[in-house]
Amino acid sequence: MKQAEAVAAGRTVRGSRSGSRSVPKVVWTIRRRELVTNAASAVLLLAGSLILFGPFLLLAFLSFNDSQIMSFRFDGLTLRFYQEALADEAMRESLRNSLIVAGLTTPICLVLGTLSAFGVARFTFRGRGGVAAALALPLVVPSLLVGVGALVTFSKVDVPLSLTTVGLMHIVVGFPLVMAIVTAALYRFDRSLEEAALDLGATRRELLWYVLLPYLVPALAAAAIFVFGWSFNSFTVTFFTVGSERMFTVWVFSRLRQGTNLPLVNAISTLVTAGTVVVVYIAYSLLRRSAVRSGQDVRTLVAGGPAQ
Amino acid sequence: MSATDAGAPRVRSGTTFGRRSAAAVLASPVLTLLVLFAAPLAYLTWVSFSEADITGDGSFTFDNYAEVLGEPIYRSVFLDTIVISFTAMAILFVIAFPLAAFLAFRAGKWEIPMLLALVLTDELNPLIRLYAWQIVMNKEGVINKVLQGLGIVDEPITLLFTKTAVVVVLATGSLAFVVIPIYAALKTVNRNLIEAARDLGASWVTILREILLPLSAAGFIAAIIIVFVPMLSDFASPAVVGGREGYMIASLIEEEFNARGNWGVGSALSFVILAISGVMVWVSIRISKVGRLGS
Repeated sequence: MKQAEAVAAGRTVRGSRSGSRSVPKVVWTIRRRELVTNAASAVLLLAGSLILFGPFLLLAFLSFNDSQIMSFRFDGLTLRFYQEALADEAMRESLRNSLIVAGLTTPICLVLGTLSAFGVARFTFRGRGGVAAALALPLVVPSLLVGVGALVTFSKVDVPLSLTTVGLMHIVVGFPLVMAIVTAALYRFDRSLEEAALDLGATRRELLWYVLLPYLVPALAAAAIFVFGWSFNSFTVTFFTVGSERMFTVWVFSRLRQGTNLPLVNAISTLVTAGTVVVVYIAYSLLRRSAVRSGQDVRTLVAGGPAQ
Repeated sequence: MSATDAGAPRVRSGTTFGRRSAAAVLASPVLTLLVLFAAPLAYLTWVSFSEADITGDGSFTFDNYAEVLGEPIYRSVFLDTIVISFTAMAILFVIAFPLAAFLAFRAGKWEIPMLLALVLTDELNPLIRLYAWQIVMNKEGVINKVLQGLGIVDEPITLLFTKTAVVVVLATGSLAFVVIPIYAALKTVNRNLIEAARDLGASWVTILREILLPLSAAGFIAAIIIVFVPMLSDFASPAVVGGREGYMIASLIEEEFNARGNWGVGSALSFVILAISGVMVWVSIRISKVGRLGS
C-alpha cells in the first residue's frame, strides 16, 4: 500500500516538474506518445504486409499484363497466359501429382501422428521421454539430410524413385508435425473430465469416441491443414526423392533455373496462390466454428500448435 | 499444465489407458520412424565414410571429411553460409519482435485476422515466393524502379544474384515462423508485470530488457529451431536469387549429388550442416538458460 502511494506521489512530482500548467502538459505528452506508438505500429504493419504479400500481388498484376517481358509498363489486359498455363501438360501433371501426394499423405500422417500423441501423452512406460524426443526428430533434423538420406538408401535397396518414395518421405516428416499439435492439445485437455467419464461408467472406447475425439477435432483439423500445406509446398525432400516424376515445386524450380516460359509461371503461381488463400480461409472458418463449439481458443490452436 | 495435474490428485498422470497397450499404440509410428528416418540417416552416415558414388559401395575412408574440412573452397562456402543465415536471422528477429509484440499486446480486434494472415503466409508456396522476389529485385524490378524514380540512384543497382538477395529472401520467407512462436511466448507474459514495472518508473527499454525479452526466450529458441535449421538446408533460394555469389552449403550438396555424383563428399557435407545446426540449437538453449538464471 505504502509503495503504491509512493509511486503515485512520484508520478505527480515528475508530472508537476515539467511546468506550472502540469495537467494539460502531461495529457499532451501521453497523447503524443500514443500518436507516436500508433504511427510506429502503422508503419510496422504496412512494412510487414508489403514484405509478406507485396511480391505475390506483383505476380498477380504481371500475370494479367499482355507483355512477354517482366516489365511494369501496362500493355493491356490479357488472359492468354492463363490459357497457355492451363494447356501446359507438364504443369497440369505436376500440380495433379502434388495434390495427390498431399491428399494421400495427410490422412496417414493424421493416424500415425495421433497414435504417437496418445502413446506419448496418455501412457506411462520406461523411456517415454526418449520415444517422444525420437518421434520429434524429423522436425529438427535438416530436411536436406532426410532428402539425400532417402536418395542414397532407396538407391541402395533398389527402390526406384517415384511418387511413392516422395509420399513415404512426406509421411515420415509430416506425422511428427501432427504429433506435436495433438500432443499439445492432449496436454491442454482437462484430465478430470476423462476421470469423470470413467467414474460415470463409460468404457475406454466410449471415452475415446464421445469425450476425447470431439475435443480433438479442431486440433486434428489444424494439423491436417498444416500437413497438407507442408506436403504440397515441400521442396527439399521432394527434390531428392522424386526421380523423373513431376511435382509442382520441382516444376517451378526447373522453370526458374532455365528461365523459360516465365509468363506462364506468373499465371499458374497466381492461380495456386489464390487457391491457397481460399482454402486457408474456408479451413479457418470451419476451424473456428468447431473450436468455439468445444470451447477452445482458435489462437492457441494456430499459434500454440507447432510451437507448443 | 503441470500445476493443474498436481492440483488434482485423483488423476494419476498418464495412466488413463493402462500400460500394456502403449506398445500397440506406438508400434506403427516407431516402425515408420525406424525404417524411413533412422535407417536412411544411418546409411547416409556410412556413405559419408566410404568411397561410394552413384555406382555403388566403396571401402571405408576418412577422405570425404578430409576433403570437406580441408579444401579452402569449401571453407569459404561454409563461412558465407554462416554469414548469410546469421544476418537473415538477425534481421528476422529485429522485424519479428515488434510485430509479435504488437500482435500480442496492441492488436485488439485485429489480433485474430492478423494471426490468420500470418498463418496464410506459412501456407503460400515458397517457390512462388522466390520467383516473385526474383522479379522484385530484377534490374527492371520494383526496387530499382522506385530508387530511380526517387532519384536515389541513376543506374539500376545489382541486387539479384548477390548475397544480399539471398539474405532478403531467407529473411522474408520465414517471417511468420518467427513472429508466431515469439507471439505465443509473449502472450503468456502477465500484463500486470508490465503495468507494475511502468508504474514503478521503468522505461520501455528496461521493460523490454528485463521482462519481455527474457520471458519470450522460449519463442526465440523455437524460432531458431524452426527457421535457422531449414535455412541451412535451403538450396532453392541460393539457386534462384543467389547466383554464383550467394552460394551456400546446401547448393554444394545438391551439386555433389546431382551434377557430380560424388555421394561421399555430398554426405559428409550434409553432416557438416547437421553439426552446425546442432551447435546452434545447443548454444541458443544454453544462452536462454543462463539468461533466465541471471534475471
